[in-house]
Amino acid sequence: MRRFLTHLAAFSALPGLLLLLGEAVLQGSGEVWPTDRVFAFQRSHPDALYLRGIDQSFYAYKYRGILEKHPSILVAGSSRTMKFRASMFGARANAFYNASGMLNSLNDARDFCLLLPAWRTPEVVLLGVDLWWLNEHVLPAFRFESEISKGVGASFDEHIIGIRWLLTHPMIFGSETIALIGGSDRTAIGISARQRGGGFRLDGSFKSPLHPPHADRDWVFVDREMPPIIDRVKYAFGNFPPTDRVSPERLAQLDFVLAEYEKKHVFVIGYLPPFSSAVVRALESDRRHAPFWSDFRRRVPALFRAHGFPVIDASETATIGMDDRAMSDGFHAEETFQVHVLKALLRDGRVQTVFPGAEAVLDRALASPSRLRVTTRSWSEFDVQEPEPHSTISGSAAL
Amino acid sequence: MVFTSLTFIVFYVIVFALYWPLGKVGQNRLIVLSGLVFYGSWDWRFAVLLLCTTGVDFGVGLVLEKEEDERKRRAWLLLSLVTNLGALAFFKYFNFFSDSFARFSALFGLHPSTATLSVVLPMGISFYTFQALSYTIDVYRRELDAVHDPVRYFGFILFFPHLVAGPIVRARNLLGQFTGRRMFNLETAPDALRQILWGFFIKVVIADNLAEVVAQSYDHIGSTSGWQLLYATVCFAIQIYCDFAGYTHIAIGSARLLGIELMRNFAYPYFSRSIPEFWGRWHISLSTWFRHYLYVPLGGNRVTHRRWLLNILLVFLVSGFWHGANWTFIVWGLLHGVLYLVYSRAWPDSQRLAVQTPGGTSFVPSISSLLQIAMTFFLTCVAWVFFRAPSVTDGLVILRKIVSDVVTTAPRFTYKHAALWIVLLLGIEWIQRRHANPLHLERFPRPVRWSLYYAFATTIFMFAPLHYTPFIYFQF
Repeated sequence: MRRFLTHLAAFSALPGLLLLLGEAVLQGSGEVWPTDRVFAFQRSHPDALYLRGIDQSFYAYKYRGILEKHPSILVAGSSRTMKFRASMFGARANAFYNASGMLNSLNDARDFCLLLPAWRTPEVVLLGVDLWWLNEHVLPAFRFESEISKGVGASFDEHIIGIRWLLTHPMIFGSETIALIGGSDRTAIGISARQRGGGFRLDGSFKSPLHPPHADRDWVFVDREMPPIIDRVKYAFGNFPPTDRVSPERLAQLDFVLAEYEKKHVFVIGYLPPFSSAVVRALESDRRHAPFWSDFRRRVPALFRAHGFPVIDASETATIGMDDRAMSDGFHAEETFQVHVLKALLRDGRVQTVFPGAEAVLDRALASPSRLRVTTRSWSEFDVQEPEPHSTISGSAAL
Repeated sequence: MVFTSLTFIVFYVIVFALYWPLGKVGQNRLIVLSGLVFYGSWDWRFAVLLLCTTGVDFGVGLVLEKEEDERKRRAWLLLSLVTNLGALAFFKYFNFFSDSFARFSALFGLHPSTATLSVVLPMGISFYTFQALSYTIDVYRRELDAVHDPVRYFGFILFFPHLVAGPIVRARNLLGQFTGRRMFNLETAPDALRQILWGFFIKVVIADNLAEVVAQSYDHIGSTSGWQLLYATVCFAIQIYCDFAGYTHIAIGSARLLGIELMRNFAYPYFSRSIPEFWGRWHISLSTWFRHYLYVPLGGNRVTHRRWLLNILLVFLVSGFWHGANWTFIVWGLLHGVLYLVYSRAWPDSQRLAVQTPGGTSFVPSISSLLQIAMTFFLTCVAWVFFRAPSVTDGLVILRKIVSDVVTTAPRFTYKHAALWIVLLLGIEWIQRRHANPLHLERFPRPVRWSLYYAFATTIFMFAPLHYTPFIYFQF
């Protein structure tokens, strides 16, 4: 018996060690931390970014962020609205939270609107609406209610998934193991944040992992999504299956969401996020997409207006005086673009009222090349620091 | 508590650690206790039912041993049969009979009010019922002495590795193993572990990954092409085999580590060259049970030719019905019965192939062997269509779609990756088909063996679906 057990122990030693090491890396990197622990860490280390490597599900983290922060100004939508950040919002920066990544369909938008407790309802919601939300052939990929219930603690399965992920990414596994043994200082939580340098700030906004090129000639647009968005449109797959009109059911769903917000006295600002110019051209010229594309751009803004809400259709970058260089891929814009979106929105007196002081902050940022690392033609980020609680945004502390 | 769960692994390690230091009585008591915990983990009421029905068999066994009057002995046996089969009929077949009666009456314009009960099917009731019946029948036939020690008897019934899905070992082959103190066998223990590893591999990697392919097609028959349904049927043939054989390998391996030998249940059935051979290789313990307790009492083959035909058909009919309360299983059973008879007529010796090396001894099979294997596999697949289809009508629709599309359109499939698992399984099984356990690798040096074990363990870890896919045979 002893011999058998010795052999068994010898055989199990290697896989056991690998599993233990994998688990240690998952714990050490913060990859499987429960959201409470992530928030506690971010509160004590305000510069810490959070982004997991094994999946891109942000629902629980963002929802928890809303409950924790109780923001008056909320950005909600998919990953395409993640770059709005607190320091863009002037005097009310501290009341801001970016919950983007949590709404990926109109089902999500509806469930979020209905499930959010009344005592956590924000005053202003900047709602990003994606083109495919209105396409009846694109089915919702997530169930909001079950997604937000995750993240209290990593399940057993998540640990398995995490270790599997590490085994299929041996370089990352190796470097994280070295970092673990070396006791590297922590500025990021989650493997993606640690490896790539991007992730969610405490205000829920997303810090891009992209670094601005040094030379002006390097400012070229590259679609970094795989497969590129233009291919998805050309070959009509993913979020771009052919359809000839906005789905009446989906439009009714959006109508319901806006009506609910109206009932709750929430001021909603509509936002149709941008596409790269090649994607716009393809959507306009391809007969499989063109009717839907124009229907979407006509009916969705009209619906917002019908509810008395302001809306900005930034589907084309040129609308707000930008070009593809403000895009990190075919349908994600960088911070510079969002600054211009806000500037455009502030032309509306109602928006000015809810974002007091924002215009001055944005103007200063756009006028100051030293603060804005690159010109407004770029897709780069701003070099900013989060405002101190309850301080006014001014001078070098802000944009 | 299923074999492929972490709970079971922890449970088994605890039982293993406690088991070996104990003496004979202690070992048997632990088996009873662990069996109750294992079975009761689904629902403790199931455990009560099990104790009641099998407890009757224990008492009947004691009476049968002493009773000399044949009429009274028969009455006692009848009590055991009625208790066991009555419980089985109630829990498994009540709604089926009630529903079938209503439909049959409707054909004549009658609409009697029939009751249906929302009863939950106790886990593995068909398995432990047959197991317990083998005890009373063997005692009745005086082929086995009645057991006086209730701990030993319930150890035989509640031995958790085979409790819910077999193998259905005859009482006289298993009870004896609970007599003395089990001694740990260093020779068989590593092979037991290898068998468990193989069981896990084919269940969680192959069966569970194929389950999705099958479900996608069989749950959407109307919108699935004939080619895809054909592919899904082949996948199902492999899925059900890996699901059940995987369970059996884990059961046999787990039992061997506790010093108990269970009978082999599968012997590479898909390398069979005829349907009779297939039945000598597929679910062997059930076939053996039916042979001993149904076919032979019916007269076996020592009857008129016509009666023999009826006996065979009856055994397959009961076998189909044993699997579940649905006409699909009955059609599946009858189809196999007819095929068995056709083969027996055309190739009388084909059943004997089951005791030979599957697929023949040469590494590269002859063309004729290959064709025979392909034909047998094809016929089993036709029968599997009914086994998996929600209804007989759906089964016919599937077959019609397959025939129509295969004749008129070019092949087109999705989930092509599933074919890799099938090729891997059949490749390993073909190479290792001389051994009961495909991971029997004693001829290789240790580094090679361990590398292969690591490869299998890693594959299990990396490719096992994380959602739970129930063992198909648990429902029976």
